[in-house]
Amino acid sequence: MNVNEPLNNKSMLSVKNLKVHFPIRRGILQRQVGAVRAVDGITFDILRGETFGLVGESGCGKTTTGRAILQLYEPTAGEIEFDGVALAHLDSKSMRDMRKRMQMIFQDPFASLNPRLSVGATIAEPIRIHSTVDNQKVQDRVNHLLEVVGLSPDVASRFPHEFSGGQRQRVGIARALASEPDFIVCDEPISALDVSIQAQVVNLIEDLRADIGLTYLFIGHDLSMIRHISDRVAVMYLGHIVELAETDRLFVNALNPYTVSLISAIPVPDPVIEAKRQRIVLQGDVPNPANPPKGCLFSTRCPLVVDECRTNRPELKEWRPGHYAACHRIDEMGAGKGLPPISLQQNLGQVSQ
Amino acid sequence: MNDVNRVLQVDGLRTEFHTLGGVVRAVNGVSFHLDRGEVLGVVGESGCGKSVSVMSLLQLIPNPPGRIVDGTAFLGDRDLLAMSQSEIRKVRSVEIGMIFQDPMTSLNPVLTIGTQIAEPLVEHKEMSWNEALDASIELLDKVGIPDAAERINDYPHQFSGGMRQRVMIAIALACAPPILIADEPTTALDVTIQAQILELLNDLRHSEGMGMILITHDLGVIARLADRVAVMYAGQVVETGSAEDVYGNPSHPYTQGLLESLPRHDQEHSSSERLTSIDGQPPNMLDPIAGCPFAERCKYVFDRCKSENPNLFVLNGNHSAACWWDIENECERTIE
Ligand SMILES: Nc1ncnc2c1ncn2[C@@H]1O[C@H](COP(=O)(O)OP(=O)(O)OP(=O)(O)O)[C@@H](O)[C@H]1O
Ligand SMILES: Nc1ncnc2c1ncn2[C@@H]1O[C@H](COP(=O)(O)OP(=O)(O)O)[C@@H](O)[C@H]1O
Ligand code: SF4
Ligand code: SF4
Ligand SMILES: [Mg+2]
Ligand SMILES: [Mg+2]
Repeated sequence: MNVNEPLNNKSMLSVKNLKVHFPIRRGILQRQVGAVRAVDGITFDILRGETFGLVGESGCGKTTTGRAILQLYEPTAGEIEFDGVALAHLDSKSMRDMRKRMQMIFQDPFASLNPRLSVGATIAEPIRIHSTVDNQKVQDRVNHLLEVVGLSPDVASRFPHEFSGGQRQRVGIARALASEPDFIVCDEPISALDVSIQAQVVNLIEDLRADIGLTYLFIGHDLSMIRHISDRVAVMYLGHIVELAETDRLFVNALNPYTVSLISAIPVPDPVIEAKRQRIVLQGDVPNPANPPKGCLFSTRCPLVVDECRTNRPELKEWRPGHYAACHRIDEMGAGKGLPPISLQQNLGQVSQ
Repeated sequence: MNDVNRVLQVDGLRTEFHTLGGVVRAVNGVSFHLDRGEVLGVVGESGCGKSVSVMSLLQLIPNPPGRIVDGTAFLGDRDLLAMSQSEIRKVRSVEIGMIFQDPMTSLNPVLTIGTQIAEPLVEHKEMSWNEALDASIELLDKVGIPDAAERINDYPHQFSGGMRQRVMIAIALACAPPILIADEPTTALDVTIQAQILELLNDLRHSEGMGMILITHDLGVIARLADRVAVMYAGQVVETGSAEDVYGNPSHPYTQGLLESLPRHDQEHSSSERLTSIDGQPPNMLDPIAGCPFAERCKYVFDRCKSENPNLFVLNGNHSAACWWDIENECERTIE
């Protein structure tokens, strides 16, 4: 199945049936006794210039997906194509050239910067690795990048501990931009920041997309921010994509019961609305990814579970152009018949009463 | 103090830390109160003094470097800040229950769950260990742990993050305290687990009639549970009032800026729309602040703000804001 065959837009990144399993080893001989199926067969395309949101709860495989795309993890199976080129078959020289074009911004601005390198040296490092330019040019470029991310060039000689979280995240962004990438994986870039700083950094990330023409994979668990920043969103659960759609469609007409529950779990900053909101409170925890449920991955917590769900895993199907969801009961709820899937929310609402 | 429903009244609390870098005025003249059965939400960003405020009440500030330099905190007619160590210890389990952000660090890893819940009951409620363990099973059951009778023999590491937080709540509830203080109780949890814990706290508030101080940086969580809100900034309460007033009619520029900067998952966003951000960053608490602590970031700042720290002005009923500027009427506030 080819999820989101690009319509007019050209695909920047194409992920096909990606799996990343981590071996679980035990005993003195470190024999492999099983595997954590961190990412277990996901397929999606990211179009040039778009921000593709990836959401899900802790441990569902978001970071692993991002790192596998950047070739920081070797995929267990599947293919990753960047700008039409399959990454697995590249020789090391072509791979280096490709690596320049794909960068990452990390969640923790405290851990991701080398405390012994000045901010200037931190940003200069990737410039020196990826091209041979003279010192003055490197200096100019560092100064320019600092300005681009809203810092004064004067700070180049300072060290990370002298900066606040938001400023450090700006340094991390400048460093990611240094090799002139066209694609950046943003792995929860604001979740370690104070609420009043988050909007500043998100605005910077969005401005850069427009000004430089970047494409983003934006990983997050804050659905409100994901709705704000993404053009399309994929929802992950236990290493699988369970729903993928254009952002507004996903938030208004989600088809998968997990997506609906996840959205309903996030409180809205308005006490009048909160007092009236219908909530679905899921029971239990996310299952262990080393031992996922047999049928539908969500069957252990789903308020709509039926017998079939416990034995057969539903496939990700396209219910409307560009709207994919995996669940046995979508048809029955009316989505397949063109009815508004709001009935799903009502069904879930009743179950949770 | 004459209000019969008033269970806690804190006035003019000041707590300092004497560090190598200088004096941190972590809590700088904070006042708030809690009535029977109500939820007070305390919101503010990291380092603004939320935790130190409540730790001060319970005399849990490490000294040195910390020191409570001023204020009173009346639980009924007794001042918590004047109590002896043995008195306050008893208050901490019998009268004020407490749960923290990270349940793993507050649970003892080498004691069974049952032992940890039963302990305060044996110590303060004169129960035998057998009675206390039976009560523990009931408590675990009440906070939604399945198979409670078996699980009391487990250790904390055998529980997931959400379940450990439930255990913490069970311990806090053991002696049925009339007040619960919850400091970021869901910050370390996933959203679906957060929803479970908030539901549980909401049920307990109604079934036990417990008053609650809920501390968080998440304005959504406060909107979900709180009756009243105190917004903190740089060691001070800058706005307080009913949840409806504070969210519906935010009257301090910081509160207003925060609410404006939040994207909403229940509202459509156009992709070109920028977020309204607050410029700058919170002040370094080591530098003495002369005027209003928000002055450097405030779009309404004027001369007076730079030299005088604003009073908490009463706007109406119990809604007040510490700001010299009347945003609604676009004029300076004056002290009557
Ligand atoms: N290097 C590794 N070795 C073994 N297991 C791993 C490794 N990295 C991740 N995992 C496991 O793979 C699963 C997915 O992890 P991943 O970090 O991708 O989650 P995530 O969605 O990014 O979560 P979070 O929201 O907490 O960042 C988890 O069960 C995790 O424990
Ligand atoms: N033990 C300590 N020693 C020195 N400073 C401290 C200590 N505990 C807290 N502080 C400082 O007090 C201020 C308020 O902290 P806290 O109440 O923990 O903030 P929060 O609002 O995030 O709960 C911060 O500036 C913090 O660095
Ligand atoms: S397939 Fe069944 S268990 Fe899975 S989400 Fe759909 S209804 Fe729920
Ligand atoms: S007192 Fe002045 S600086 Fe402070 S919040 Fe009000 S207007 Fe802004
Ligand atoms: Mg991650
Ligand atoms: Mg705190």
